[in-house]
Amino acid sequence: MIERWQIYKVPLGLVYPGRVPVRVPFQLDNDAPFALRGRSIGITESAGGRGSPNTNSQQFVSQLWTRFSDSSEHWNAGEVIPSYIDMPGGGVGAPGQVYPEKSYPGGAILQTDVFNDGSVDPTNPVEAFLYYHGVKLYPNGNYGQTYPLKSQPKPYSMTLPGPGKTLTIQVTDRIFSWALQVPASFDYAFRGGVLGFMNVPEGQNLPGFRNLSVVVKDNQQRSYMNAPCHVYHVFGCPGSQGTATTANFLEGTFNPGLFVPELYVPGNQYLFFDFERADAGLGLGAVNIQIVFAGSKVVRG
Amino acid sequence: MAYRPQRLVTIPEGWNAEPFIVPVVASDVNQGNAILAGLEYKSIPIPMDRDFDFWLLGFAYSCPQNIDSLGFRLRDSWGNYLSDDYCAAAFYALPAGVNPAIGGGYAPVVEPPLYCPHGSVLQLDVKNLLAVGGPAYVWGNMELRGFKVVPIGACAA
Repeated sequence: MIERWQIYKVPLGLVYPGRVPVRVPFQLDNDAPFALRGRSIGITESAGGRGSPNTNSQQFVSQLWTRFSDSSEHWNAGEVIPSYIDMPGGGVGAPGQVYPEKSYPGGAILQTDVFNDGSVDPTNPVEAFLYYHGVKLYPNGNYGQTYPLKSQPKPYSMTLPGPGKTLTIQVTDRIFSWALQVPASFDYAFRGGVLGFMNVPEGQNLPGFRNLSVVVKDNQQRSYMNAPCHVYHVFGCPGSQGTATTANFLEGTFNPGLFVPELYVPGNQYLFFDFERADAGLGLGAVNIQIVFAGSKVVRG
Repeated sequence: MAYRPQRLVTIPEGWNAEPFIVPVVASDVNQGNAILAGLEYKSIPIPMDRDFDFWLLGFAYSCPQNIDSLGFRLRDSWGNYLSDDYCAAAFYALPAGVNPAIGGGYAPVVEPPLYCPHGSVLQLDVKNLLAVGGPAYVWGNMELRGFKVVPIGACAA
Protein backbone atom coordinates (compact mmCIF):
# COMPACT_ATOMS: atom_id res chain seq x y z
CA MET A 1 0.00 0.00 0.00
CA ILE A 2 1.30 3.42 -0.96
CA GLU A 3 0.35 6.48 1.03
CA ARG A 4 0.11 9.82 -0.73
CA TRP A 5 -0.22 13.15 1.05
CA GLN A 6 -3.69 14.65 0.63
CA ILE A 7 -5.63 17.64 1.92
CA TYR A 8 -9.36 18.02 1.33
CA LYS A 9 -10.60 21.56 1.62
CA VAL A 10 -14.30 21.60 2.45
CA PRO A 11 -16.08 24.94 1.99
CA LEU A 12 -18.59 25.46 4.78
CA GLY A 13 -20.21 28.50 3.19
CA LEU A 14 -21.38 31.53 5.11
CA VAL A 15 -21.92 30.59 8.74
CA TYR A 16 -24.26 33.00 10.51
CA PRO A 17 -23.91 33.55 14.26
CA GLY A 18 -26.44 32.06 16.60
CA ARG A 19 -28.28 29.82 14.14
CA VAL A 20 -28.65 26.06 14.40
CA PRO A 21 -25.62 24.07 13.23
CA VAL A 22 -25.32 23.76 9.47
CA ARG A 23 -24.68 20.28 8.01
CA VAL A 24 -22.28 20.23 5.04
CA PRO A 25 -21.87 16.99 3.07
CA PHE A 26 -18.74 16.55 1.00
CA GLN A 27 -17.89 13.72 -1.39
CA LEU A 28 -14.30 12.52 -1.39
CA ASP A 29 -12.49 11.62 -4.60
CA ASN A 30 -13.36 8.34 -6.26
CA ASP A 31 -9.84 7.31 -7.18
CA ALA A 32 -8.60 6.09 -3.80
CA PRO A 33 -9.55 5.55 -0.17
CA PHE A 34 -8.63 8.29 2.25
CA ALA A 35 -7.20 8.03 5.75
CA LEU A 36 -8.05 11.10 7.83
CA ARG A 37 -5.41 12.09 10.41
CA GLY A 38 -5.91 15.76 11.16
CA ARG A 39 -8.14 18.80 10.77
CA SER A 40 -7.66 22.54 10.62
CA ILE A 41 -10.07 25.41 10.08
CA GLY A 42 -9.83 28.84 8.52
CA ILE A 43 -11.91 31.65 7.10
CA THR A 44 -11.82 34.08 4.24
CA GLU A 45 -10.63 37.36 5.66
CA SER A 46 -12.36 40.46 4.41
CA ALA A 47 -12.75 44.12 5.22
CA GLY A 48 -16.47 44.17 5.87
CA GLY A 49 -19.36 42.87 3.85
CA ARG A 50 -19.33 39.13 4.27
CA GLY A 51 -16.92 39.35 7.17
CA SER A 52 -16.37 42.28 9.40
CA PRO A 53 -14.21 45.38 9.60
CA ASN A 54 -11.94 43.39 11.86
CA THR A 55 -9.75 41.12 9.76
CA ASN A 56 -8.10 39.06 12.47
CA SER A 57 -8.78 35.51 11.43
CA GLN A 58 -7.90 33.89 14.73
CA GLN A 59 -10.64 35.77 16.51
CA PHE A 60 -13.24 34.62 14.03
CA VAL A 61 -12.06 31.03 13.97
CA SER A 62 -12.43 30.80 17.73
CA GLN A 63 -16.19 31.33 17.50
CA LEU A 64 -16.72 28.33 15.23
CA TRP A 65 -17.78 24.93 16.59
CA THR A 66 -17.59 21.77 14.49
CA ARG A 67 -17.87 18.01 14.38
CA PHE A 68 -17.51 15.51 11.54
CA SER A 69 -18.71 12.04 10.54
CA ASP A 70 -17.15 8.95 9.06
CA SER A 71 -18.53 7.32 5.93
CA SER A 72 -21.15 5.43 7.99
CA GLU A 73 -22.41 8.63 9.51
CA HIS A 74 -20.89 7.97 12.90
CA TRP A 75 -19.96 11.29 14.38
CA ASN A 76 -16.77 12.08 16.24
CA ALA A 77 -18.72 13.92 18.95
CA GLY A 78 -22.28 13.95 20.29
CA GLU A 79 -22.59 17.64 19.50
CA VAL A 80 -20.50 20.34 17.87
CA ILE A 81 -17.45 21.29 19.93
CA PRO A 82 -15.43 24.52 19.91
CA SER A 83 -12.72 24.57 17.28
CA TYR A 84 -10.28 26.14 19.73
CA ILE A 85 -10.39 22.92 21.73
CA ASP A 86 -9.82 20.30 19.03
CA MET A 87 -7.97 22.58 16.58
CA PRO A 88 -6.00 25.06 18.69
CA GLY A 89 -5.13 28.20 16.79
CA GLY A 90 -7.23 26.93 13.91
CA GLY A 91 -4.82 24.03 13.57
CA VAL A 92 -2.59 25.92 11.13
CA GLY A 93 0.70 24.06 10.72
CA ALA A 94 -0.32 21.64 13.46
CA PRO A 95 -3.67 20.14 12.53
CA GLY A 96 -5.85 18.92 15.34
CA GLN A 97 -5.21 15.21 15.60
CA VAL A 98 -7.65 12.57 14.48
CA TYR A 99 -6.28 9.52 16.25
CA PRO A 100 -6.68 6.73 15.50
CA GLU A 101 -7.12 7.65 11.87
CA LYS A 102 -10.53 7.37 10.21
CA SER A 103 -10.68 5.52 6.91
CA TYR A 104 -13.02 6.48 4.09
CA PRO A 105 -13.61 4.43 0.94
CA GLY A 106 -13.27 6.16 -2.41
CA GLY A 107 -16.23 8.40 -3.11
CA ALA A 108 -17.40 8.36 0.51
CA ILE A 109 -19.43 11.18 1.98
CA LEU A 110 -17.78 13.11 4.81
CA GLN A 111 -20.18 15.32 6.72
CA THR A 112 -19.37 18.37 8.77
CA ASP A 113 -21.57 20.22 11.25
CA VAL A 114 -20.59 23.82 11.92
CA PHE A 115 -21.96 26.38 14.33
CA ASN A 116 -21.06 30.01 14.87
CA ASP A 117 -21.51 31.11 18.49
CA GLY A 118 -21.07 34.80 17.62
CA SER A 119 -18.80 35.39 20.57
CA VAL A 120 -16.45 37.61 18.57
CA ASP A 121 -18.80 39.10 16.02
CA PRO A 122 -22.49 38.52 16.86
CA THR A 123 -23.71 40.22 13.68
CA ASN A 124 -21.83 39.18 10.57
CA PRO A 125 -21.40 35.70 9.10
CA VAL A 126 -17.99 34.26 8.34
CA GLU A 127 -16.99 32.29 5.27
CA ALA A 128 -15.37 29.21 6.76
CA PHE A 129 -13.34 26.29 5.42
CA LEU A 130 -12.38 23.01 7.01
CA TYR A 131 -9.19 21.29 5.92
CA TYR A 132 -9.07 17.52 6.30
CA HIS A 133 -5.45 16.33 6.36
CA GLY A 134 -4.45 12.77 5.67
CA VAL A 135 -3.30 10.37 3.00
CA LYS A 136 -4.79 8.68 -0.02
CA LEU A 137 -4.11 4.96 -0.24
CA TYR A 138 -3.01 3.44 -3.53
CA PRO A 139 -1.94 -0.08 -4.49
CA ASN A 140 1.76 -0.73 -4.80
CA GLY A 141 3.12 0.52 -8.07
CA ASN A 142 1.35 3.86 -8.12
CA TYR A 143 3.21 6.88 -6.80
CA GLY A 144 5.86 4.43 -5.64
CA GLN A 145 9.01 6.34 -6.42
CA THR A 146 11.30 6.22 -3.46
CA TYR A 147 14.90 5.81 -2.38
CA PRO A 148 17.16 3.71 -4.60
CA LEU A 149 18.68 0.66 -2.95
CA LYS A 150 22.08 2.34 -2.84
CA SER A 151 21.89 5.97 -1.89
CA GLN A 152 23.39 8.56 0.39
CA PRO A 153 21.14 11.24 1.87
CA LYS A 154 22.38 14.63 3.03
CA PRO A 155 20.51 17.41 4.79
CA TYR A 156 19.54 20.03 2.24
CA SER A 157 17.02 22.81 1.79
CA MET A 158 15.51 23.79 -1.52
CA THR A 159 13.88 27.14 -2.04
CA LEU A 160 11.03 28.47 -4.11
CA PRO A 161 11.04 30.53 -6.33
CA GLY A 162 14.55 29.14 -6.74
CA PRO A 163 18.06 30.57 -6.96
CA GLY A 164 18.18 33.99 -8.52
CA LYS A 165 14.43 34.19 -9.08
CA THR A 166 11.79 36.42 -7.57
CA LEU A 167 8.15 35.47 -7.13
CA THR A 168 5.98 38.54 -6.77
CA ILE A 169 2.29 38.05 -6.05
CA GLN A 170 -0.04 40.97 -6.62
CA VAL A 171 -2.98 41.83 -4.38
CA THR A 172 -5.32 39.96 -6.70
CA ASP A 173 -3.39 37.38 -8.59
CA ARG A 174 -3.29 33.87 -9.97
CA ILE A 175 -0.08 32.07 -10.80
CA PHE A 176 -0.36 28.65 -12.38
CA SER A 177 2.19 25.85 -12.28
CA TRP A 178 5.24 27.62 -10.91
CA ALA A 179 7.81 24.89 -11.49
CA LEU A 180 10.38 23.79 -8.96
CA GLN A 181 12.79 21.36 -10.57
CA VAL A 182 15.01 19.01 -8.62
CA PRO A 183 18.52 19.14 -10.14
CA ALA A 184 19.66 16.19 -12.20
CA SER A 185 22.48 15.34 -9.84
CA PHE A 186 20.31 14.13 -6.97
CA ASP A 187 16.81 13.16 -5.84
CA TYR A 188 15.06 15.19 -3.19
CA ALA A 189 12.80 14.18 -0.32
CA PHE A 190 10.47 17.08 0.57
CA ARG A 191 9.44 16.78 4.22
CA GLY A 192 8.01 20.21 4.93
CA GLY A 193 8.17 23.86 4.11
CA VAL A 194 7.79 27.34 5.55
CA LEU A 195 6.42 30.22 3.52
CA GLY A 196 7.07 33.87 4.21
CA PHE A 197 7.57 37.21 2.56
CA MET A 198 10.33 39.71 2.70
CA ASN A 199 9.36 43.15 1.58
CA VAL A 200 7.28 44.67 4.34
CA PRO A 201 8.83 47.89 5.64
CA GLU A 202 10.41 47.62 9.05
CA GLY A 203 7.90 48.13 11.83
CA GLN A 204 4.87 48.27 9.59
CA ASN A 205 2.21 46.44 11.48
CA LEU A 206 0.68 44.68 8.52
CA PRO A 207 0.91 41.15 7.26
CA GLY A 208 2.05 40.74 3.70
CA PHE A 209 -1.04 38.83 2.69
CA ARG A 210 -4.34 37.60 4.07
CA ASN A 211 -5.95 35.27 1.57
CA LEU A 212 -3.13 33.52 -0.22
CA SER A 213 -3.83 29.96 -1.30
CA VAL A 214 -1.71 27.29 -2.89
CA VAL A 215 -2.07 24.00 -4.72
CA VAL A 216 0.90 21.64 -4.72
CA LYS A 217 1.14 19.25 -7.68
CA ASP A 218 3.48 16.42 -8.56
CA ASN A 219 5.53 15.89 -11.70
CA GLN A 220 2.44 14.82 -13.67
CA GLN A 221 0.55 17.85 -12.34
CA ARG A 222 -1.62 15.64 -10.13
CA SER A 223 -2.67 17.68 -7.19
CA TYR A 224 -2.12 16.87 -3.52
CA MET A 225 -5.25 18.82 -2.58
CA ASN A 226 -8.72 19.20 -4.03
CA ALA A 227 -8.76 23.00 -4.08
CA PRO A 228 -6.46 25.93 -3.34
CA CYS A 229 -5.66 25.79 0.38
CA HIS A 230 -4.59 28.75 2.47
CA VAL A 231 -0.81 28.72 2.70
CA TYR A 232 -0.92 28.73 6.50
CA HIS A 233 -2.65 25.35 6.42
CA VAL A 234 -0.03 23.91 4.07
CA PHE A 235 3.19 25.62 5.11
CA GLY A 236 2.41 26.56 8.70
CA CYS A 237 1.63 29.82 10.37
CA PRO A 238 4.11 32.62 10.86
CA GLY A 239 4.37 34.21 14.25
CA SER A 240 7.32 32.90 16.14
CA GLN A 241 9.34 36.06 16.36
CA GLY A 242 8.48 39.62 17.16
CA THR A 243 9.04 42.51 19.52
CA ALA A 244 7.02 45.29 21.01
CA THR A 245 7.78 47.44 17.99
CA THR A 246 7.47 44.91 15.21
CA ALA A 247 4.55 42.74 14.33
CA ASN A 248 4.73 39.27 15.75
CA PHE A 249 3.10 37.66 12.75
CA LEU A 250 5.70 38.61 10.22
CA GLU A 251 8.03 35.71 10.86
CA GLY A 252 7.91 32.07 10.05
CA THR A 253 8.23 28.64 11.54
CA PHE A 254 5.89 28.89 14.49
CA ASN A 255 4.54 25.58 13.28
CA PRO A 256 6.24 24.51 10.07
CA GLY A 257 3.97 22.73 7.65
CA LEU A 258 4.87 19.07 7.22
CA PHE A 259 4.27 16.86 4.20
CA VAL A 260 3.30 13.45 5.50
CA PRO A 261 4.44 11.17 4.05
CA GLU A 262 7.34 12.97 2.48
CA LEU A 263 7.28 13.79 -1.23
CA TYR A 264 10.08 11.91 -2.96
CA VAL A 265 10.97 13.64 -6.23
CA PRO A 266 13.62 12.06 -8.47
CA GLY A 267 16.23 14.22 -10.14
CA ASN A 268 15.09 16.27 -13.13
CA GLN A 269 11.45 16.01 -12.03
CA TYR A 270 9.24 18.81 -10.80
CA LEU A 271 6.85 19.94 -8.15
CA PHE A 272 4.38 22.52 -9.41
CA PHE A 273 2.70 25.23 -7.38
CA ASP A 274 -0.43 27.24 -8.14
CA PHE A 275 -0.90 30.42 -6.13
CA GLU A 276 -4.12 32.36 -5.78
CA ARG A 277 -4.45 35.61 -3.87
CA ALA A 278 -7.64 37.58 -3.17
CA ASP A 279 -6.74 40.52 -0.95
CA ALA A 280 -8.51 43.34 -2.79
CA GLY A 281 -9.79 46.04 -0.46
CA LEU A 282 -7.63 45.06 2.50
CA GLY A 283 -5.06 47.80 2.09
CA LEU A 284 -2.26 45.44 1.22
CA GLY A 285 0.37 45.46 -1.49
CA ALA A 286 2.27 43.03 -3.64
CA VAL A 287 4.58 40.64 -1.82
CA ASN A 288 7.71 38.73 -2.71
CA ILE A 289 7.41 35.29 -1.21
CA GLN A 290 9.91 32.60 -0.47
CA ILE A 291 9.32 29.01 0.57
CA VAL A 292 12.13 27.15 2.28
CA PHE A 293 11.68 23.40 2.08
CA ALA A 294 13.15 21.04 4.63
CA GLY A 295 14.32 17.65 3.50
CA SER A 296 17.20 15.63 2.19
CA LYS A 297 19.04 15.42 -1.07
CA VAL A 298 19.54 11.79 -2.02
CA VAL A 299 22.65 11.03 -4.02
CA ARG A 300 22.53 7.76 -5.91
CA GLY A 301 25.27 5.19 -5.46
CA MET B 1 3.40 2.20 3.56
CA ALA B 2 5.76 4.73 2.10
CA TYR B 3 9.36 3.76 2.72
CA ARG B 4 11.49 6.19 4.61
CA PRO B 5 14.91 5.17 5.92
CA GLN B 6 15.77 6.12 9.44
CA ARG B 7 19.45 6.93 9.60
CA LEU B 8 20.71 6.98 13.10
CA VAL B 9 24.26 7.66 14.14
CA THR B 10 25.99 4.56 15.45
CA ILE B 11 28.20 5.25 18.43
CA PRO B 12 31.21 2.89 18.64
CA GLU B 13 31.54 0.77 21.74
CA GLY B 14 33.54 2.54 24.40
CA TRP B 15 32.51 5.96 23.12
CA ASN B 16 29.68 8.21 24.12
CA ALA B 17 27.56 10.98 22.58
CA GLU B 18 27.97 14.20 24.54
CA PRO B 19 25.59 17.08 23.75
CA PHE B 20 27.48 20.05 22.37
CA ILE B 21 26.63 23.44 20.88
CA VAL B 22 28.70 25.43 18.41
CA PRO B 23 27.69 29.10 18.68
CA VAL B 24 27.83 31.62 15.83
CA VAL B 25 27.44 34.99 17.53
CA ALA B 26 26.81 38.42 16.09
CA SER B 27 30.45 39.47 16.29
CA ASP B 28 31.38 36.60 13.97
CA VAL B 29 29.49 38.22 11.10
CA ASN B 30 30.64 41.61 9.83
CA GLN B 31 32.14 42.21 13.26
CA GLY B 32 28.68 42.74 14.68
CA ASN B 33 27.86 45.64 12.37
CA ALA B 34 24.68 45.96 10.37
CA ILE B 35 24.49 44.26 7.01
CA LEU B 36 23.21 46.72 4.43
CA ALA B 37 20.42 45.74 2.08
CA GLY B 38 21.70 43.77 -0.88
CA LEU B 39 25.10 43.05 0.66
CA GLU B 40 26.42 39.57 1.31
CA TYR B 41 29.31 38.20 3.32
CA LYS B 42 30.66 34.90 2.11
CA SER B 43 32.69 32.07 3.57
CA ILE B 44 32.55 33.05 7.21
CA PRO B 45 34.40 30.19 8.90
CA ILE B 46 32.83 28.14 11.67
CA PRO B 47 35.71 26.02 12.97
CA MET B 48 35.00 22.75 14.70
CA ASP B 49 36.91 21.86 17.83
CA ARG B 50 40.02 19.82 17.28
CA ASP B 51 39.37 17.25 19.97
CA PHE B 52 36.45 15.13 18.73
CA ASP B 53 34.10 14.77 15.77
CA PHE B 54 30.83 16.69 15.87
CA TRP B 55 27.45 15.58 14.55
CA LEU B 56 25.08 18.42 13.67
CA LEU B 57 21.45 17.64 14.53
CA GLY B 58 19.83 21.06 14.15
CA PHE B 59 20.32 24.79 14.26
CA ALA B 60 18.50 27.58 16.01
CA TYR B 61 18.65 31.26 15.15
CA SER B 62 17.44 34.17 17.20
CA CYS B 63 17.56 37.87 16.62
CA PRO B 64 16.03 40.79 18.49
CA GLN B 65 15.18 42.49 15.21
CA ASN B 66 12.63 41.86 12.55
CA ILE B 67 14.79 39.62 10.40
CA ASP B 68 12.41 38.34 7.79
CA SER B 69 14.82 39.46 5.08
CA LEU B 70 18.17 38.24 6.35
CA GLY B 71 19.20 35.11 4.51
CA PHE B 72 21.99 32.64 5.02
CA ARG B 73 23.31 29.37 3.70
CA LEU B 74 25.74 26.89 5.15
CA ARG B 75 28.44 24.71 3.69
CA ASP B 76 29.57 21.46 5.21
CA SER B 77 33.14 20.43 5.97
CA TRP B 78 33.73 19.54 2.31
CA GLY B 79 32.30 22.73 0.84
CA ASN B 80 28.89 21.31 -0.13
CA TYR B 81 26.03 23.75 0.23
CA LEU B 82 23.18 22.73 2.51
CA SER B 83 20.64 24.71 0.49
CA ASP B 84 20.22 25.74 -3.12
CA ASP B 85 20.05 29.44 -2.34
CA TYR B 86 20.01 31.93 0.51
CA CYS B 87 17.18 30.99 2.86
CA ALA B 88 15.46 33.70 4.87
CA ALA B 89 16.39 33.01 8.47
CA ALA B 90 12.82 33.57 9.56
CA PHE B 91 11.59 30.69 7.41
CA TYR B 92 14.61 28.48 7.84
CA ALA B 93 16.14 28.58 11.24
CA LEU B 94 13.84 30.06 13.86
CA PRO B 95 12.90 27.52 16.51
CA ALA B 96 9.31 26.37 16.18
CA GLY B 97 7.16 27.55 19.06
CA VAL B 98 9.68 30.08 20.32
CA ASN B 99 8.30 32.75 22.61
CA PRO B 100 9.78 36.12 21.63
CA ALA B 101 9.93 37.20 25.25
CA ILE B 102 11.49 34.14 26.79
CA GLY B 103 12.97 32.20 23.89
CA GLY B 104 12.76 28.45 23.76
CA GLY B 105 11.20 26.38 21.03
CA TYR B 106 12.36 23.48 18.95
CA ALA B 107 15.39 23.85 16.73
CA PRO B 108 14.87 23.05 13.05
CA VAL B 109 16.20 19.59 12.44
CA VAL B 110 19.06 18.63 10.16
CA GLU B 111 18.10 15.28 8.69
CA PRO B 112 20.07 13.08 8.38
CA PRO B 113 22.60 14.30 10.96
CA LEU B 114 25.60 16.03 9.41
CA TYR B 115 29.06 14.66 10.15
CA CYS B 116 31.66 17.34 10.91
CA PRO B 117 35.15 15.92 11.48
CA HIS B 118 37.20 17.42 14.28
CA GLY B 119 39.27 20.34 13.09
CA SER B 120 37.18 20.87 9.96
CA VAL B 121 35.50 24.14 9.06
CA LEU B 122 31.89 24.83 8.16
CA GLN B 123 31.29 27.97 6.16
CA LEU B 124 28.50 30.49 6.45
CA ASP B 125 27.27 32.93 3.80
CA VAL B 126 25.00 35.75 4.98
CA LYS B 127 23.04 38.16 2.81
CA ASN B 128 20.52 40.91 3.35
CA LEU B 129 17.89 39.83 0.83
CA LEU B 130 16.27 43.26 0.47
CA ALA B 131 16.95 45.47 -2.52
CA VAL B 132 19.52 48.23 -2.08
CA GLY B 133 18.02 51.01 0.00
CA GLY B 134 16.07 48.72 2.30
CA PRO B 135 16.67 48.33 6.02
CA ALA B 136 19.96 47.02 7.35
CA TYR B 137 20.11 44.11 9.76
CA VAL B 138 22.52 42.88 12.37
CA TRP B 139 23.21 39.18 12.47
CA GLY B 140 21.73 37.67 15.60
CA ASN B 141 22.90 34.56 17.34
CA MET B 142 22.87 31.05 15.99
CA GLU B 143 23.51 27.77 17.67
CA LEU B 144 24.58 24.63 15.87
CA ARG B 145 23.25 21.91 18.13
CA GLY B 146 24.41 18.35 18.14
CA PHE B 147 26.84 16.08 19.91
CA LYS B 148 30.46 15.08 20.01
CA VAL B 149 31.50 11.47 20.00
CA VAL B 150 33.94 11.14 22.89
CA PRO B 151 35.58 8.27 24.75
CA ILE B 152 33.59 7.33 27.83
CA GLY B 153 34.91 9.39 30.65
CA ALA B 154 36.02 12.32 28.53
CA CYS B 155 34.23 15.63 28.50
CA ALA B 156 32.93 17.15 25.24
CA ALA B 157 34.04 20.65 26.04
